[in-house]
Amino acid sequence: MFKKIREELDKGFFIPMPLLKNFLGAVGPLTFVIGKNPKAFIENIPSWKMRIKNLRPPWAHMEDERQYDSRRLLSKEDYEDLPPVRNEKYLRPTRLCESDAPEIRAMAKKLWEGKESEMEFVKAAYYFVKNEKKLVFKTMGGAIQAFRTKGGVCLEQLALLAAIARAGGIPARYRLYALAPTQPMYDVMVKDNPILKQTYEMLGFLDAIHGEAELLVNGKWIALDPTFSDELEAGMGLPVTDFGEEPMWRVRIPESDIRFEGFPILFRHFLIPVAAILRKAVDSINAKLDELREQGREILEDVGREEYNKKVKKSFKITVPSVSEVKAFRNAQLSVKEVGSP
Amino acid sequence: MESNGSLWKRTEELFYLPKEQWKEVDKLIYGIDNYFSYDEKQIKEERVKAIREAFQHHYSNNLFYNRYCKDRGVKPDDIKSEDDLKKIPMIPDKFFKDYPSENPKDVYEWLYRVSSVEIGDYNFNGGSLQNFLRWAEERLKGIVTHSSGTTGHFSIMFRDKITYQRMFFAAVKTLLFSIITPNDDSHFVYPGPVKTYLTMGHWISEGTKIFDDSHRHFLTDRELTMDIVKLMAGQIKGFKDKMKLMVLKKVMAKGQQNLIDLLEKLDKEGKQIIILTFPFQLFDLMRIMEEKGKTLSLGDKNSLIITGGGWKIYEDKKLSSKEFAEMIERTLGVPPENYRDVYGMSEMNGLALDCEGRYKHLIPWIYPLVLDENNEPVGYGEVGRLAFLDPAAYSYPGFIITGDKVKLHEHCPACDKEGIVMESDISRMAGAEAKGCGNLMRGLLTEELR
Repeated sequence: MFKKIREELDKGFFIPMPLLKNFLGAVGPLTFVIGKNPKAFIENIPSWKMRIKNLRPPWAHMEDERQYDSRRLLSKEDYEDLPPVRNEKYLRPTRLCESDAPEIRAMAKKLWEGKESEMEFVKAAYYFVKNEKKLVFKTMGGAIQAFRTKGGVCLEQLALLAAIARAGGIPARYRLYALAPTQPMYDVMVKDNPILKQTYEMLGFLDAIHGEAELLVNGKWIALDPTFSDELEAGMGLPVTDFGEEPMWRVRIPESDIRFEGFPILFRHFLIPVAAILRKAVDSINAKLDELREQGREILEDVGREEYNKKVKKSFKITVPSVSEVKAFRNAQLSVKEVGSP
Repeated sequence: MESNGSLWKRTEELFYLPKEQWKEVDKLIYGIDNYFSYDEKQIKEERVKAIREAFQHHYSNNLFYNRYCKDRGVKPDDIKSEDDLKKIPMIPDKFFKDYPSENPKDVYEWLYRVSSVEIGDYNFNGGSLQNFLRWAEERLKGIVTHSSGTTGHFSIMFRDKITYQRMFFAAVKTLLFSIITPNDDSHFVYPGPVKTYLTMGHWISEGTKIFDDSHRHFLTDRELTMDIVKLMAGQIKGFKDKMKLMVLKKVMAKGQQNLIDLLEKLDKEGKQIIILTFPFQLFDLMRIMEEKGKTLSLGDKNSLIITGGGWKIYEDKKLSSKEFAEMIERTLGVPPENYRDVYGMSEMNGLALDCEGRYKHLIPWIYPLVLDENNEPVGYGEVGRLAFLDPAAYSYPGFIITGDKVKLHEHCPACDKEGIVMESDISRMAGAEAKGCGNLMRGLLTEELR
């Protein structure tokens, strides 16, 4: 009994204190802004009515996502000889990270096929989540929900990546942090809704609502963020993030890192009031994301992923030499000048 | 354009580069009488020479830029005419925040690795990054500034003495001597804090040294440290900094009232006033005046108002140039011809100044380009990403791709002043930071936080 309780606590039963503080810190400004913008709040009423008419709760995401169910990619054979469920720290299933689910284990097994190293498997898992699943703003349902539908919010996609990694024998944990958006992200997600915009202006950042999955490969934790698919990045005019690269659509504020193994109790419910209060804005953001993905798909089809990235990265990446290389270069330049001088 | 007054003499004392040290670009910065009236053909030739010389300097003295150019197959000999300028490899402005961590040693090494001038060995032991910037400034004998850091990392711009002198000479001449001729008793007012390394505040603190302390007035003497800036940008650091921020906000709110009182006093005394600020800072000040039913008649003394930095994410509160000029005339009594908006960037050593038709005329040594989504140059009249070649930058390659979306014209559609012009409607491109220094200052003054 005590062992079970200790294990639950160890897996992250309670919300980490910094995360709780961040959430509570956002409640005040959000409430204040809602109070200041009753019109933006009232505009949700038709969306709520439509959901209630369809016997769904006011915060429900209404898109039919059956065609995106990733179980379609699995055959009967994929479900045979599944990898065992492990119970060690960072390998065990945790809240919203159902690494023991048969379809997750089957996908992990499928992604391991033909791979010779852990790195190759992790890379395959990253690209699977990045491009097979989409960023969709809806309430959290965990790794299984993301797997069986079009995708989910960023944290759900991290949960899916962590679940596949754990099922494939790779330890995985989360790192949440505050982020500052770049202009396209701001334009799509913040700009048009007065409640989101004014709350963001008051906070000046988006705190602890985003993160990365950290996977332990060859003794080193690798941070991976599969949230934006290639087509979404291209649609936003940004470089397509390759495995191991920092995405260019957001900037992490490193001082705000919070690491944990599993999501705490009730965490999935935190998004419910937000999804209800911002229902109309959330629907419009999801529609905009679909449009951008479509634009990005066309760009990548026309130009090709590699060619597109080569062009766009020109303005985003530069390599800087080491101090000793610079010193050697300066000395060489100096001697050229000395030799050349009369 | 210049006067024989004490302000001009002081400008020369502080920022003039002796003629024997002039490079090609200095002929344009120090040698031209009027930045907006010149022989266009001659200036075009001199600009190409200046840019070619600056390119040669960075290619020969900056390893990262040398490799960057070699990767792109461009060398100084390839730059012969204006048509060749677009071949010069340009650096995205985001590059200046690519230092690995905020540990001063890391920042020093990064600075060493990207600088086109020798900065010497590391002997800093002052602890914080803020103190390191002070150390770096002394080492360079120039100026070091940082951005608002709202995207997690501060951009750090470092200028050596040569770049510093060029930039401030050009800025003072453009802003203070291109529109009016200030008299020796004119007063400068900036409604923001200047004890900071934040770009606008620090620039104003340095540039206004041409005024004696009794003739320059700021919102507060309180220090705006990097820690407070980080706190404002969302990187919460602790109770002590929160308290400092609270005090600063209170002081700034009080400072606005003090500034209004000061303006009233100077107005009554018949003094000429020069105000330089972000548009929303001035907007806030004027809004308070309107609420209190106060009006001034600063225009009677040929006073000047300059805004810069844009409205950024406060676009919804933005007034059109015409409405803003009307508000200035109504509240401060300054006629529209004595109100100008200016475009500048923390990486650029030169400005684009509004003409009366509200087109922004670029000073002559900077060569702007507009790039399409593939970073290929497009012609005048097309909208795209602004890039520029700035030969005045000596300590870093001033060949920069910005995050700003602009439209350029080779000649002004509204007036006959010289200079390539930018249309006033400037917005941000994909991938650019959503917030900037100005927004941070707006945060200090914003009504909701008072």
